[in-house]
Amino acid sequence: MNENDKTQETTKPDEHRRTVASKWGPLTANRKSRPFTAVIEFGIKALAFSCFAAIILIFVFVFREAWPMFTSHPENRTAVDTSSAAVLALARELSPNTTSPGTASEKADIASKAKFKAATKVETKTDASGKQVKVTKEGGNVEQEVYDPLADDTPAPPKKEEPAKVEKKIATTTSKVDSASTKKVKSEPSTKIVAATPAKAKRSDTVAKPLAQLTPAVEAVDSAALRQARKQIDSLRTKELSENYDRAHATDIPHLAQLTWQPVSTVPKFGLTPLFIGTLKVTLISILFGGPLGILAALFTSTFAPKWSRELIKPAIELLAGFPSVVIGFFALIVMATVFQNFFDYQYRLNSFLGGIAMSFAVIPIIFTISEDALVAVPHSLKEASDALGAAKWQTAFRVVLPAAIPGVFAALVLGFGRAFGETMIALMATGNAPLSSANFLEPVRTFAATIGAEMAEVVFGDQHYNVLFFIGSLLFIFTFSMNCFVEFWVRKRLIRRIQGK
Amino acid sequence: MTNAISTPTFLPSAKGRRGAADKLAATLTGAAAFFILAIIAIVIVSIFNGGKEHFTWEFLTQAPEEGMTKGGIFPAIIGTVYMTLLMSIMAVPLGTITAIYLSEYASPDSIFARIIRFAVNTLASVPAIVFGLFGLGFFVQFIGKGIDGALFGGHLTWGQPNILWASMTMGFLTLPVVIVSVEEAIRNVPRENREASIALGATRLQTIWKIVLPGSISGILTGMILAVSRGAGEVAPILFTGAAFFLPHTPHALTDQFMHLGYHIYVLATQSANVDKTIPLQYTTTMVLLILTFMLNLSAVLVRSRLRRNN
Repeated sequence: MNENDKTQETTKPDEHRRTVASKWGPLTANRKSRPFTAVIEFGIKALAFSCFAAIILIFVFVFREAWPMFTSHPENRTAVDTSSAAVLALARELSPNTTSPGTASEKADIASKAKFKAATKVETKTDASGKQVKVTKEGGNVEQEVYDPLADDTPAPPKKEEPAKVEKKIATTTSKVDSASTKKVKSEPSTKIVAATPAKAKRSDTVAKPLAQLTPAVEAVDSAALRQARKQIDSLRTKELSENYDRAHATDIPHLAQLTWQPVSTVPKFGLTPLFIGTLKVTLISILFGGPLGILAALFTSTFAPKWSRELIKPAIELLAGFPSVVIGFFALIVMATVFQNFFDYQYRLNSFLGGIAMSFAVIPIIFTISEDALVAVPHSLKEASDALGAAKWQTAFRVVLPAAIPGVFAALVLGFGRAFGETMIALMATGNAPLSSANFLEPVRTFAATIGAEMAEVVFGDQHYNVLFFIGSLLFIFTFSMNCFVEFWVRKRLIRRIQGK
Repeated sequence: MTNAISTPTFLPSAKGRRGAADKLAATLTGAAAFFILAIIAIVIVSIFNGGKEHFTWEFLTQAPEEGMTKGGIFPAIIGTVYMTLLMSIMAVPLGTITAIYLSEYASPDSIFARIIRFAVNTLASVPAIVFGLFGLGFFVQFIGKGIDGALFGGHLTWGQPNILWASMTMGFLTLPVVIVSVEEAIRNVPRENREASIALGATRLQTIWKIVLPGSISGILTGMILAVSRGAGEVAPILFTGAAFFLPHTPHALTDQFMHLGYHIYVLATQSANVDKTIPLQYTTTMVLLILTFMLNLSAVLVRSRLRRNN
């Protein structure tokens, strides 16, 4: 490599582009005589590769967690779920006559495998299905109620639930069955909880603990409810078969394009369309608002601005770039949301418009910095030629400098777009987090990144939902990666060509 | 470009119009610039205005009390400091070495160097939340569970979110920041110094160790400060790699979870039981985080300007 450099140097003496490295050709011999140095230099080279390795690792490990949603066959899943020992065990628990020593030992066996996590799992599941009850009751306006079982305004389920609490919770849900006068409406979903919960838990072998807690809870309920539950268990099991089938297919690719994002329910729906629409809405608003502002400001500092204001504006915008996104999100959530609602008088306090404007605060510094770099890089000869032809200052700025730097400005917009697309905290705090697919910019939306941020903390490891969230993550990665590639290989080349006038 | 200047503007009659148009253009662009400044000012002023009331010594040195509705943010500050320190331990050496390779060893046209440069750019543009997923999938699930399986017999020790994994994740996030600023500093070391060193018979490595690194120490410092500033503010990567909702104590082992200022703001503003009651505390916490990042950024600017003056 060094010899190659040397020959290049003699033929092509463009000094300013060369690093010191190429100057040091003769040292090769010296290096060979020092094995220690050679080892260290190899180490430097290897470690320098860490960035590239990081990119590969990020992609591999994000996609690795998403992969099971494509590979596990629906048939296998159904098989696992139907032979679900949980349902069988539950049936045994519910009928007092069939309790045999065999079952008890089996129960103990499962109990030894159980982990603490199960308690949490039951809790969240009950919560979600509790929402479902509400929905069935109200019937009509499903969209408003279903969409967001994990919305930000509902407090997150406590991480560590005491077993006693779970027990109480289940007891109350089951007693609802008993006390309800409209049994047909109310009892069905709540028994569904009982049946669906263990089926879900089975997937990670953590059944026994909730079951153990379930037993006294169920026994505590009086026999009328018990009989009712037992009567329904058979129909539920057959029903569960079909539901499991849907569940197994929920992550098929056509199903990912549906219009409902409803990850926590008996038949989860992983439609990515509302999330995509939401992300696009927020990103577009932030670019439409922040793009012109940033570009005009860059034009101002690069051509029109007197020196003192340039000294003021550039550090200030660098300061804005240093703003943590959670601070911008907080500002949007507490201050901007109220002011905007009073001013524009719209219905939802948090919506994609607010989120987009807040997002533009994060995008403006990027657009400003990159387009300012591009504008400053326009050679003086162009400006001088324009001046010499008698052009006014604004003509030089808008008709010579800006067109010459347009690939750079475009790159700035693309990178700003990429930033807004993947920004999490602002979207999480200021967009309302409702996966609606509507074209109205004044309705709450949920972006891809915010979905990951909001739901990952409450998801069951290894579940379909978990896989889908990782899949969204890899989509985000692929998206920003391709944007970056585009800028790197296409825009930069054009920029160089334009500026050098080739 | 050649058809850019279409109107002859040297006519005397056009001169007045020209001046007016110039003024208009300057005003328009200037208005955009000052609008941005106004946004910045409004954000800062409103946060400081809302937060100054609770900004007391007690607030900084006490733990949250009564379900985070009272008390201070001490564990969050300490958790942030620990996390950024651990992060720097990982990111600064790695970033410095990469920068050394890029500026001292690699010729700018070699494919290897171009790949690394591209990787650095890409790493800088990957969304923070993807780093979070990566931390969960790689550090927690893969490495952590692997360690547990090999050393602890499957007992959950490392295979869950903790401060080490959060710091490592954040280290990857801040790696490009370090690389860019260290590389700039290394390039600012005068070439004559290197040549003199070689003329005295030093090897390339000796030159780097004795001449280049001491000459660019301020750049390394700048990189570290900027990385810390980024790490203190970024929340998305630690959402599920180690940040805790609430902990009464500071972390004392690498396997502990920790509280983080930014995450604390997020939790108070959206997840806590009584959001309205804690709004003053949220303001003050945000204010503390802003002051922290401002101070860090300011010191980075100062260090860098000193560096530029020295050369």
